Amino acid sequence: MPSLKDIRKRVGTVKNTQKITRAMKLVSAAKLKRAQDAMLKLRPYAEKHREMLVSLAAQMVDGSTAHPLLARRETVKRIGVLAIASDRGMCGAFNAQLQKTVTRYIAERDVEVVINPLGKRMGLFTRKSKLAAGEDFGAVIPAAEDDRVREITERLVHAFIEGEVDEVVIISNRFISALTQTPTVMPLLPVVPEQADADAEQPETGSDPFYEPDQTSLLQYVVPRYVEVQVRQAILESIAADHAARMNAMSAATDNAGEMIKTLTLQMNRARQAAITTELMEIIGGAEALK
Amino acid sequence: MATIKLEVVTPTGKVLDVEADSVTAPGALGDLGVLPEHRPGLVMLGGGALRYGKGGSEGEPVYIRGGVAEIRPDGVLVLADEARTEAKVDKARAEKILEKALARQETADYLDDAQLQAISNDRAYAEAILKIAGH
Repeated sequence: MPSLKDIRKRVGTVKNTQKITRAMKLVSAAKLKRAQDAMLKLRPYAEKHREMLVSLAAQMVDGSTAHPLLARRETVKRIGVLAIASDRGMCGAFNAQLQKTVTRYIAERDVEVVINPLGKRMGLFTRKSKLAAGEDFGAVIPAAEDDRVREITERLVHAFIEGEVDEVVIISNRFISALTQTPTVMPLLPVVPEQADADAEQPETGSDPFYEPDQTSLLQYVVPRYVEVQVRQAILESIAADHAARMNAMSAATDNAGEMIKTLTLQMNRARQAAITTELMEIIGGAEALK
Repeated sequence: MATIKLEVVTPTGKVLDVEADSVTAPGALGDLGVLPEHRPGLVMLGGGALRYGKGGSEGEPVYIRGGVAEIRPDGVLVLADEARTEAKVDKARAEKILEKALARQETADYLDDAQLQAISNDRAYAEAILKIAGH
């Protein structure tokens, strides 16, 4: 049985830990709000680009050859993966789940898969498990900056155009809600202009739309933007999911610390009472002996 | 009288959402004027000021750093790489953008059409902002 002093000390430690986890939870909650805002702001822009891409590509005589990023390769020899995780731990199963998804993805392909990690945890994982690594893009938080997104996209596009890889996918955590994040594999290149659903058809306008300068130039403008938007969205979602996961993990840790304090306090009181009882017994015993 | 719903959307959010009588956008091939009931189409935009008229007077211009405009029967949707209303322009940033664009133009051996367009967009955007008086 630990002594009273020991237990008291432990209660103090747990209380301190609880303070820290509570603070971390609050910080994550605030950051989550901001990340979510950024994500929602991008949505209309992303949606519109997709629509334009679909309608432009549909009008091209041969949509797949209109732009090199639309061209599907017949044989896929190497797949490039942009794997996005977080920079720090303390976010529950966030990183572990993503790493599992990456490992499974590699195991399921019979072609070479090159991992481009984004987020320090992913970089660490790639090196530790000795995966075929492409360029390490470093920390994920600064990657949400405008210029950095562009840079990352350019590298990925470059690798695809130069034939270093024949396909590019993004593996990242999708933000479903503040409580759920799911690791997802999303194809990035070649771009497949998919029709969302049948009722998303362009409304009949009566007259033929005009294009300035022409459809090909517009497509050339829209396709790279579209790719960039996809990358940006994945990064923003992963960051939001990261904060959400950390918030939940810290919330659970705070609750657990509370439970622990309760149990320890009970133990402490029991030990104190036992000590008092023993002392009383001794006093009574001593008084009896003097009689 | 019919109006045009003018929206300017960037990756970081909506910059403008107004009902306008007329819109003049900086097209990549020259200015593009839009009145209500314009024929629908897609237009590539360059850099510069997007102006619109509203109720007989001119609205606050929006500065655009390249993008695409979609003209629909009911309005104009501008997707810009970057856009600022006159009240929110950042001159220091504009100077930096201009400097970078000029440096790129000087040093590059070869630039393709898209890169040339991007540089000219950046220049037009920055120059338009730097030209605003009273800053």
